[in-house]
Order: sequence, then C-alpha cells, then structure tokens
Amino acid sequence: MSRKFILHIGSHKTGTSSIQAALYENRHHLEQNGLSLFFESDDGEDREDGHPGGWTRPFPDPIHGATISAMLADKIATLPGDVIMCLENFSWVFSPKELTRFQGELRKHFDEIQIIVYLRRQDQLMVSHHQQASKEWRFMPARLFGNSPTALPEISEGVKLYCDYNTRLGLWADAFGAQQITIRVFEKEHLIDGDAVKDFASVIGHTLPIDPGHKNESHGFIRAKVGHLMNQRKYERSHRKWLNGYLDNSGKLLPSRDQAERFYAQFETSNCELNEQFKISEKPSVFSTDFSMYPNGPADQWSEELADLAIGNLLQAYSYPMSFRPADGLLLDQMIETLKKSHPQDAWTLAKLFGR
Amino acid sequence: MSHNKTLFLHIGNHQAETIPIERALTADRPLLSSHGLTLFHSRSTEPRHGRYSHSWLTRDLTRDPPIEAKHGFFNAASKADGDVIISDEDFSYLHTKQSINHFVKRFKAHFGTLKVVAYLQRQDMQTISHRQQDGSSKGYLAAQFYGPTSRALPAYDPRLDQYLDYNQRLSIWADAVGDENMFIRALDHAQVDSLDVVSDFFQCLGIESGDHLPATVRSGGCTQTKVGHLVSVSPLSRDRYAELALVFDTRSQLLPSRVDAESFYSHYRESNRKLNQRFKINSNEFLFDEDFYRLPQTPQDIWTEEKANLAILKMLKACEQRENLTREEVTFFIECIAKVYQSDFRLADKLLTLARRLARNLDEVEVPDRESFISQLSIFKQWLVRLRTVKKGKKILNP
Repeated sequence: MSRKFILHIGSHKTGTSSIQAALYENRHHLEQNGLSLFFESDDGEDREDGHPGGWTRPFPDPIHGATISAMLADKIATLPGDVIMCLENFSWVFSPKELTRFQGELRKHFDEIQIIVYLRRQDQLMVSHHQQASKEWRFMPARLFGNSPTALPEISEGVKLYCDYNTRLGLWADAFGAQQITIRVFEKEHLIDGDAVKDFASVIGHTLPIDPGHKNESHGFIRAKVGHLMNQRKYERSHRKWLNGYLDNSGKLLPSRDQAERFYAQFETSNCELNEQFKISEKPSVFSTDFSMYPNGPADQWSEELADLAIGNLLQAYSYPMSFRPADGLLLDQMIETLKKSHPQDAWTLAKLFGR
Repeated sequence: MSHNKTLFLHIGNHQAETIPIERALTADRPLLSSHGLTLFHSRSTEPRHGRYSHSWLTRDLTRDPPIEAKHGFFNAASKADGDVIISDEDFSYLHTKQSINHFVKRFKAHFGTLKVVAYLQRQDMQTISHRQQDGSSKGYLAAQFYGPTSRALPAYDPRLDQYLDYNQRLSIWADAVGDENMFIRALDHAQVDSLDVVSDFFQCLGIESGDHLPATVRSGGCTQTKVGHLVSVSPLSRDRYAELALVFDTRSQLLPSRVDAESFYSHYRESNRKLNQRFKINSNEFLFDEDFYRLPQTPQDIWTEEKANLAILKMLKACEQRENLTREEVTFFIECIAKVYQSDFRLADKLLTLARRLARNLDEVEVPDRESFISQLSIFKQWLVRLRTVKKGKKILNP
C-alpha cells in the first residue's frame, strides 16, 4: 500500500502555532481517517501543543541555517499509514545537501511527499518575526537577522536567505520536485474564510473542527525595543523575565509606510519569478501591494515620553532585588509599616535591606 | 548667649558657586581665625568638601519643613570660637515664614547678629544647573524637588516658586533678620567667569581672601541628568541612585532651547524686579541680564534614538549586576513574617507566598508552612485567625 507524507514547513508567523494546535487537538480524528500526526519532540516528549521540537538544529554559524536530524525520517516512518508533520523550523534549512539527504531518507518509507508552505509578504513577515526575535538572543531570528531595536531589521545576508522565497523554495523544489510543492499565500483574501487553519485543512483534504485559537503573545513597543537591546547584551532568561515584569507592553513597533515599501521592493523581483514558476497568485509579485496598514512616519523610534517610560520602568525594577515583581513593592511597604509599630528595629533593617 | 557674636549664614543657592566658596573657607581657616571667625562644620573633625553642616541637618522635601536641625545644632554652633560661618545651600529649600522664623529665632538665641548671604542665578540657569547635579544626595533632592521630567527645564509649576521666587523667599529672611543684614548677589552669567565670587564672599565677611582653590563643580552629564530626573517617580533609594549614576556618561550638557528658557524665566521677571527694588542689589531693572544667547536655538535636552538606546543599554548593564537576596536576607525576611502574623495574618499570608518565591533558588532556606506560623500565636489569636479564615472560606490548615 502506498504511503504519503505531508510536511508543512512554515513559514514562521503564518499561523503555524494555530495549525499545530488544531492538528494536535484533532489527532485521533485524523488517525481514524488514516492520517497520523507526528508531534513527538526529539527528546521523546509530547509538548501538548503539536510542536515537534528539536528535529532541526542551527549550524554554529547561523548563516548556514539549520540541519535536519538524521533520525527524523525513520522516526516519522514508525507511525502507521499516511503521516503529517508541521514544523516551521524547516524554513531555516538553506542547504541543498541537507534537503536532498532528507528527501532520500523519506523516500525509503513514503511513496508520495507533499510539501506545504505558507508565504507572507516579506515586510509583514519580518515586522512580526523581528518582534519575536526581541524575546531571546539565542533564538534563530535574533542570530540571523540581528538585534537592531527597530521594527524592521537591516537587509542583511541572513534576511535575504529567509526572505528570498524564490531561491529558498527553489531548493525544496530541486530536492522534492516542483510539483510536490504547494504554496499558499498568507493573506486574508487568499485563505479560506480568511483563516489559516481552515485553509490548511482544505489543502490536506481533512477537517480540523476545533480551532483552539492559539496566539503567540507579542511584545509591545517598549518590551520589543528593550528586548532587542537585551539581546545585544546576551541577557540571561532569568534577568529578562524579571525585567519584562516591569516593562510596559502596549503599542507596537511599526516601520513607516515608506520603509516597509523599500524593504519589500528588495524581494519583489524574486516574488515575480516564484509566481512565474508556481502560478501562485494572479498578482504578478504574489502579494497585495497595499501598505496602508503602516503609519506615514516610523513608529519604531523613541519619543521623549516612551524613552522616559522605558527608563522609568527599568529604574523601578532596579529598585528591587531580582525575583521581585512590581506588585511586591506595595506588599513590602505594608510589611514595613506594620512592623514599625511592633518591631521598629526590624522595620528599619528591612527598609535598608530593600532600599526603601 | 553672647550678643557680641555674629553668625554669617550662607544659604546658597545650589550650584551658585557654593563649592568654590566652601573650598576657600576650608583652605583659609587660619586666615578666618586670625579675623576672629570660625567655619562651623559637621561633627567630624575635618569638614568634608561640600557638606559643611551636613550631618547637623535632616532633609526631606516631602515634609514641611523640608530642612530640620538635629538636636544640639544651635548649641554647638554657638560654642565655636568668635564669629561663626555656616554654609549650607540646602537652607534654600526653606520657604515658609514659619520654618525660616524658627531657624532665625533659634540662631538669635545664641548670636547677637545674624547675617544671611545668598547668591542668586537667573531662574532658568539656576534650574538647569541645579537639576544637573550628580548622583549625590544633593542631586537626589533636586530630582525630588523638580519632579518627573527628564528635560533640562521642567514645565512651570507654581510649586517651583517655593525656591525660585527669590523675592518671596528672601523677603521672609529679611523680615526676620532685617534688610541691613541681607547680603544678596545676583550672578550674571555673561560675567560669571570674571566675577570672583569667593573674594566677594570674603569681603562680605570683612576680609581679603587667600589663594583660592580652583572650582570643580560636579555636574552630571546629559544622560545621567535625564535619568536622574526620573528617579523622583521611582521607588529608588538614595544609595541605589548614587550607585546607578556612576554608569552614565558625564560629558555632554543638558540644555533647553532659548525659547524654552525665556518662557520659564518670564514667570519670575516681575518678582526679580521687586527684589531688586527692595534690596538695591544692582542696576538691572529685572536683577539679571536678559541675554539668552549662550543657550542653543534648538533644544538639546531630548532623547535621540542613539542617546536613549545607549542609556537603556547602560541601565540593562546595571540591572544585570543586581543580585538576588542572600540566604541570610531571605531568612531574616521569613523571621519578620512571623512577627507580621502577630498583627495582620492576611498580609502575612501574602508575604509567605512572596517568601517562597524569594527562597526558590536558595539552598538550605526552608519556608515554614502557614500552620507553623499560626501555631506560634497565642491561643486567642490562633482562634481568631482560624475563625476569620473559615469566614473567608479558606482552609484552616495547610496540607
């Protein structure tokens, strides 16, 4: 009996977390219909979010992208029937050698392989991706795209490797065959009911009735900008978590309309070439050319008020020892006031200890 | 009381050449002594630069009066040999009739004559330099006084008149000591480099001064000053502020635009005229020169992208060095919780949760459960806590 393997390779920031969660919620239903979900992480753990972590690992120099575990194909093949896997980190694979090897390993077990990829207009993708990078310097986007405290990263070799869809998907087409690649456009008007999960369900020919509505928590203006600066200092997670508790999380980092258009223009030709080969969209460069969602001027630079607020937030954090949260200060003040009446010496020592 | 003794009280303003004056007074103590004068200073044997009566005064700008004398101050001052000089610019924070009269009355109990010396700067320049003091306690007080803005000049607020309405403030001193005992000088910024303030001060004392030490005014740089201004709205203590101020650059200066400075100054123009009318300080109608050419046309006191990023990176570096509490400190915190249980068990319950978090990564710190704290209370209090806990629908005992 022939076996099929469906692989969703991203891109990042195109609803993959929601798709993984929906697949996971519906895994038994899918299994009954002959489609097994591969969700196990490389350490054997079920993360209960449908994200099969650890199967791709970045090369020491991020410019080489990521490598695919040599055990992955065999592991996938242990599942019965057709198998589906959704892992956006395959978008970090830039090496034709890696892809050819992986294809060869999968071919030993599967007769048909379908690669599904969702593409988002490069400026929108990078605004979202770069914001995500502000959360941790060890993350691949921070390492590959840099830590500029702006809405969009500088155009660099790393940015081009990810955002030149024609070149990147060309590698997959070379390894797996162009006819095996399904490219979907991550834009409301292109998605079924404007929804990534419903669209994906229709592509794989199954229903995914439960949409858990998973959403990645995004960073606001100050948290994202300070997050990039923390990345520059290679901040430890414990310190980052402590400071994030104090940093304002409203607003959003956005480039100006002009900046976004200039960023996108770098990839327009490549998009046209991709469209010519894969006939993805009736628009020549695949995506809508509407940039009205951006402000006229940049909204990713410090204003007097926001810089004051960010520094005020950091001063507040600096006032307390680590592991203190903003609300703890009030509690501490109440404690000192209470002790002043009964144990004044202890109240004084405590106030001194906590710098009150 | 010796009615023959005179007290010279130098009351500032802040940053109005106080440091050169105080340095010269310290260096020229033998000269002062030969003229029957003593510089009264802190309790320590040697006066420390810039803090001459520091340890005798308490300062808290949230209180009225903001400056108070510690026990024994007036008596100790009166015991100094001959006529006495006290120099402390923090006397400028006194602004009410009641608080100024209190000091004057206490001084007059020991001194026959009280002469008040004040050096003034045009209000915009006064505010700019006052707010630019470094991370010392004086800088901390200035940050408290001017409030939470990181610009070179704050928005005008009538509260600032307490310090900057010189006519109002110095008139209270004059009413208490007599106009003839007021020695007021206006520092003209166009001539400040040529004006020898120290010689001027010594002349007021009736002597020619010796060689003066060069003035080194400790001003904070642009970033340090801007961050420093924000401490007034943070719970940062003075010690931590001083620690933090060290990480910022001290080079570029925080300056407002000419227009902003003129607008700020305009609130005090009329008051300055009245002051000059009463005390005949100089020939300027409005006391000060009204030239703003030294200030830039565009403001140099706002964050640029680079300046803000750099300041935040420095803050992040400082935060990185912020340490967790030690085992001993958390243990002390837990001991205090036991004492809070005596009077407020609901607060203590919340503190217990906090203690568990603080102790999480510390070896050998065990946080006792709630019941063990409660069992240490008197039988009556235990009963009360259990009754109230049941009423709140909580379990009496922790598992």
